[in-house]
Amino acid sequence: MDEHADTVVRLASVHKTYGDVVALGGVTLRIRRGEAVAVMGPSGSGKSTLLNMVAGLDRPTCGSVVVDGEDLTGMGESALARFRRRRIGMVFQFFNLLDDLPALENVALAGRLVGMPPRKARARALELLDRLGIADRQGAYPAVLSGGERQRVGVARALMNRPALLLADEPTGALDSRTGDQVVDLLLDLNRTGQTLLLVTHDERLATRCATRLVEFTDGRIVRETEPNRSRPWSVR
Amino acid sequence: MERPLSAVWAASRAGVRRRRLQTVSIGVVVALSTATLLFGFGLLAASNSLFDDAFARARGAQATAAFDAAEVSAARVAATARAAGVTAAAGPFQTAVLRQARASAGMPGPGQDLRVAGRADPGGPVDRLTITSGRWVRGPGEIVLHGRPGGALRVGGTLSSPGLPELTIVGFAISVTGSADGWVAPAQIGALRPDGLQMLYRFARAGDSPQVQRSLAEATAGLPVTGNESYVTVRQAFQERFNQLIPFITVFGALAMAVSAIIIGTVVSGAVVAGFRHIGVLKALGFTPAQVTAVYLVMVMTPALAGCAAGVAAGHLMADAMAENMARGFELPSAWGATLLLDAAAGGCVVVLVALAALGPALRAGRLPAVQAISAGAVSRRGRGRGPQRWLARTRLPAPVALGLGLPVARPARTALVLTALGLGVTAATLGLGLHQTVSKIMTADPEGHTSVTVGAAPFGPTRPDLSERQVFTLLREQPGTAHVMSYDLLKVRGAGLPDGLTAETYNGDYRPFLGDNLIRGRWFTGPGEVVPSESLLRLHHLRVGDTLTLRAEDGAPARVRIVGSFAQPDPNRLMLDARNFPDSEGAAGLRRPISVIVTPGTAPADYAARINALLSGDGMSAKVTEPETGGAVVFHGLFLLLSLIICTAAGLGVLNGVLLNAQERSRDLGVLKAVGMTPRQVALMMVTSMAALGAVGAALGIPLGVAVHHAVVDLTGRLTAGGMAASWIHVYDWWLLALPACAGLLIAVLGSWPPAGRAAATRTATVLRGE
Repeated sequence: MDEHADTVVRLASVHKTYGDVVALGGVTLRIRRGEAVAVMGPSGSGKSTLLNMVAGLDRPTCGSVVVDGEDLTGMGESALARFRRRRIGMVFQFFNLLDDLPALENVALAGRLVGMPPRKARARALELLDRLGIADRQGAYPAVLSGGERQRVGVARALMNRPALLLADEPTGALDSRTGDQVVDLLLDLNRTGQTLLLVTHDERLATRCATRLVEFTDGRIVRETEPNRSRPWSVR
Repeated sequence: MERPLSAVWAASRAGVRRRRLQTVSIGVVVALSTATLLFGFGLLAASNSLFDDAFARARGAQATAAFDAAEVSAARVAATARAAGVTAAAGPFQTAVLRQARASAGMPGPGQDLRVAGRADPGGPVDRLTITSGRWVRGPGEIVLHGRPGGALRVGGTLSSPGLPELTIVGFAISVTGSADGWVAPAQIGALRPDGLQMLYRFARAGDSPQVQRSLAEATAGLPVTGNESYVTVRQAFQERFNQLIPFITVFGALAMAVSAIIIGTVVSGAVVAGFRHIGVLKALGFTPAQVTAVYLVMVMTPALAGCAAGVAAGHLMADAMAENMARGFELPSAWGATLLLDAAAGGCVVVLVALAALGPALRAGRLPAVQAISAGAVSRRGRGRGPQRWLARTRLPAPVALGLGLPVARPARTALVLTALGLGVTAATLGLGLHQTVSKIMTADPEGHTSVTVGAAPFGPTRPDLSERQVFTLLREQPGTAHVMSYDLLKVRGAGLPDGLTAETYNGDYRPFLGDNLIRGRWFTGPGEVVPSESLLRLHHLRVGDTLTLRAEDGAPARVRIVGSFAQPDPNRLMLDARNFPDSEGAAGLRRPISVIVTPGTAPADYAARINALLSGDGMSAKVTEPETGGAVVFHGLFLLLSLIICTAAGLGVLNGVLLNAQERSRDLGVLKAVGMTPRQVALMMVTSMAALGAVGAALGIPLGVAVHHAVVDLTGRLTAGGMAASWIHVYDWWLLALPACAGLLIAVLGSWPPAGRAAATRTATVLRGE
């Protein structure tokens, strides 16, 4: 396979500083299509900064970030937003659903942003909710959903536009262990169907269960990369 | 040792610093509101006592008496100052009349007779003059004129009168009762052929006209008084011009104050509500509920007090400028603007208002459980108005527009306050535009308001022009640029069953286009046999349209005329009719009635008047451009414009604050939307849309309300004043006049929401989400 086509994320010597604080100190990383990469490290090690760089939410001080063939380094805010809505799906620790919209509309909203007609967007959203096992909660507002249900809605929203890369920031951090396991299973299933995954977590158990590769961060640098004993995805999308 | 107060102060100071935009917003809104309130107070105070204040400050003359210098000595006149009942007196001043005086610089048009007095200084115990320009006279050869510079009359110019020495204008001054048209040094008056003596009095008893006359008669008993003037007459003349407009000012001022109060309530209560998470942190640190309440009150009161001080200073200056303008417009020497008492009242009202607006939410903050406060924003809210938001999300509208339209229903209380501010802003704009139109129509309602050029006997020509009125009509109608020609005069008439002293405005020629739109009932007269009396005459004598009157001019044949309508006019002795009803009064032999001309569109009145002057000057006639007396119209237009702008700005700040609060409260939602791919422009569009929708609703509510308030105010003014209000002064709104406030509603909403929307759009997504 062509190396470029096979690569979803390529970070080359990425530095990020906030004043005197070095958040990333020259990170080089390549994530191949279909991989599930877990980034681990202590608090303040630069994990979330890395995630923000890949999502186009933050810009590197120097170095380059290429995601799904797009160099994000020189992009403006609007171009980054358009890039995000088509190529990236994000799952947050605290779900970040819009409280005033029911589950179905929360998911469909991502489709509306790429110009999908409302009816088609709702049909796609319902299909995803059904796939994630919460179609019966489509009309419920976030306030009445359980933590696990909220995170499933968050995952459905992230998958709405068939992203090249699914980013998950502590996806089980706000869930109890049983619900967390369910979400891990969900992510595993997604990866097994070919969804590329970049996961940021403190949770070693989650990382080793979910990831095909572990990247350990300390003080803004990659200190170790390992491959846990998890089988490679069966197929590449 | 515990130092709870310093902890409260430290927490408040931190809050003020942390939320700079909110702090600045409170300061600006309070400053603007205080300035508006003080301006409104000053306006109302000035409008209620404009003349009386100026009269008191100038120690105006309650009576001015004129004596024939040939019949009474100055010493005898001076002795009247010590008469019983006289509390202060000035004079006697020698007086002279400058006949056909004109500015040598070439003042166009006829000269005028000026009554001048020889006076050593502008001060004194009675009738203190206010010098408006230049200086007081220092010796012979100088004159100070009444009023203010204008046209060819300016400081440094000269004034000449046939047969008298030329005088240099060294200044302008105003006497509150207009005691003279000009003043010269006592050493100069002798050269101006003085023929009279003037004495100015203030009395112990001068409450009304009969009291003034009695006091004057007692003071001047035994002396030949050739003329006198009471300040009551001057005050009445002023009130006739001014009082018609007081209700307009009152309503507008009250509206401005109401908007200010609402905006303060919105901004201050919103500022407290926006800090809920901060409250949780304070409680977690050990602040008591009372301390939390105190922190919030101090946080709000600090910028509010600073804003209040700035507002008092700005409002004081504005009120002074307004009073000065009003005094200028109504030819008064001066007027009170804002006094220290008004400053204190406005500042005090605002501080109390701010404290009350902040107290409720601050007490609520104090009582809020720490856990609930600290989790504000982090946990899902059980919001309101979700049905409409859900429906909007399903429409084919672009996502930012659909989400933006849904925002207002999520916070109904805040939306109601913003909508009230917007609605009142639009109401004010609508009312202001309507009052502007009404005042313009009132000021130009008389025939003079429609006249382009006036043609009459030349001031220095033969005693009377040889041409008859009919010949002049024919000559003028032959001139290019002439559209309509008529003549107009006042005639004393008597009416059967009516009191003496009726004044008939008699019209001849093509007069219909000159008649104003001040008709209240019926229609205008179209020929002989018809009359249109003033509305006050009809009301006073219980007459109706269709009744017949018998009128008789002095030594003329009686004319039976039918009432066909009434016009707005406070004078109950006025009527208008065709001059042919009194054929003996027509100027058949030699022109004596001034002639008015309306020129055709595109003809410049000045050019037309120059042509007529060239044509008719040999016949002892002259033409001049008519400049309608707009009196204080400019002042009122300025006031309406200023107040409309203040109200709209305050409404815009209310919107700004609403968006600011929405953006703060929804910072996480905005971050999420940007994370899932909404561009900054779409975020800004969403926030602006939310307010534009309110702007549209505000316009829909505010325009009918503004029209209704305008109609009610104008109608009520017509009922309260004897003159009545013409229908055309009430129904002034054309579609374009309503389009302006409709646009204003949207404009206020968009401009007010743009800065915080832009700020929200520019917020770094990573920062917001990391904050979660």
